[in-house]
Amino acid sequence: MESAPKRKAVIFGAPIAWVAAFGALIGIFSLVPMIFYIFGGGFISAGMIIFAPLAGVILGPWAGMIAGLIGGVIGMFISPASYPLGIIDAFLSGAFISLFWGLVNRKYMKFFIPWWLLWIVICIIWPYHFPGPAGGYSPAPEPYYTLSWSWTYVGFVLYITTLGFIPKWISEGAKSSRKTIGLLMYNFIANTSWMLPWKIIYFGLLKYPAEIVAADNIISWWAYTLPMVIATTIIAFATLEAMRKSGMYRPPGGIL
Amino acid sequence: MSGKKVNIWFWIFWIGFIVIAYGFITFVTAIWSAEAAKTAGQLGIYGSLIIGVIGIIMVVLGNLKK
Repeated sequence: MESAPKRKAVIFGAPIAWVAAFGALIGIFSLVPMIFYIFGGGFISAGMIIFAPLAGVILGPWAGMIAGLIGGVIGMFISPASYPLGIIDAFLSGAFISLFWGLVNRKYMKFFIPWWLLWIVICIIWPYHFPGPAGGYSPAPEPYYTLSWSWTYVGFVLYITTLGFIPKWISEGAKSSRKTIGLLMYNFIANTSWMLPWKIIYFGLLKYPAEIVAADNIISWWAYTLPMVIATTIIAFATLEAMRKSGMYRPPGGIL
Repeated sequence: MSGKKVNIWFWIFWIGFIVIAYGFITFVTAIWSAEAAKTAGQLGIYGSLIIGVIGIIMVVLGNLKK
C-alpha cells in the first residue's frame, strides 16, 4: 500500500521535497567523476549518470526537469570546469537529462516524437549545413556526417517499435529478465535522444570541425552510450525495485 | 512515507547495486585508455575498484540480513 504525501506541496505531482533533494544530489554529485572521456581531459559526473536520469524516471519529465535544472545550476557554481557553457550546460547536462529520461514514458509520446524529430533535423542541418561555411563552420562531409548520428536513428526506430510492450516489461509484475531488457531499451532510447542536444550545442557553439563531430559520433556508441546505458539500467532497476517493494509514494508522472 | 515494513538492510541491499554500478563502470572507463587513466589517476582507478567491492559487500550483507 503506497501512501500519498500528507501535504500538498507538490509540483507536477511530485513532492517538492523530492524535487529539491534530487536537485541537490545532481548538483553535489557533479563533483564526482563516473565516466572518463576516452581521449582524456574530463569526465561525465555521477550526478549526470545516476541522479539526473533517476529524477526523470521517478518524478516524470517536468518535475524531473526542474530537479535537473536545480542540480545543473548548483553544479555550475561548485564545479565550473564541468560546465564550460555556464547556464546552457545547466540545461544540457542537468535539466535535459531528466527531461529526456522522463519523456521516454509512453504517456508523453505525443510530445516526445516531434521533440526528438526536431532535434534530429537540427543536428543534421545546424550548424554545418546552415549557416555552414558562411558562418565560419567547416562543411559537413556527406553522407558520412548524417550517417554518423546513426545511434539516434536506431534509438528512434526502437522507441517506435517497442512502444507497445516496453511499459509492460518494466512494470511491477514483470519477470526480472524482461524488466532488465525493458530497462536496457528504455535507457538506450533516452540516451540516444538526449545526446542530440548535448552534443550539437557543444559542437556548434565551440565551432568544432564537422569531421571531428562525425568521428565523435562514431565512438559515441561505446564511449558514451554503452557505459551510460549499462549504469543507468542497473541503477534504475535497483531503485524501482526498492521503491516499489517498500511501498513509497509513486509520483504520477514517473514510471513507478 | 513507507507503507510496508522494511529495515535498514533492505536499503543497504538495493543501494549496494547502485554502489556496484558506480564503482565498476567508473573503474572500467578509468582504465580503458592511457588518457582516461591519466585523468582518473591512481585515486580514481583504485578508489572506484574499492567502491565496487564495497557495493558487493553491501549487497551480500543486505541480502543475508534483510
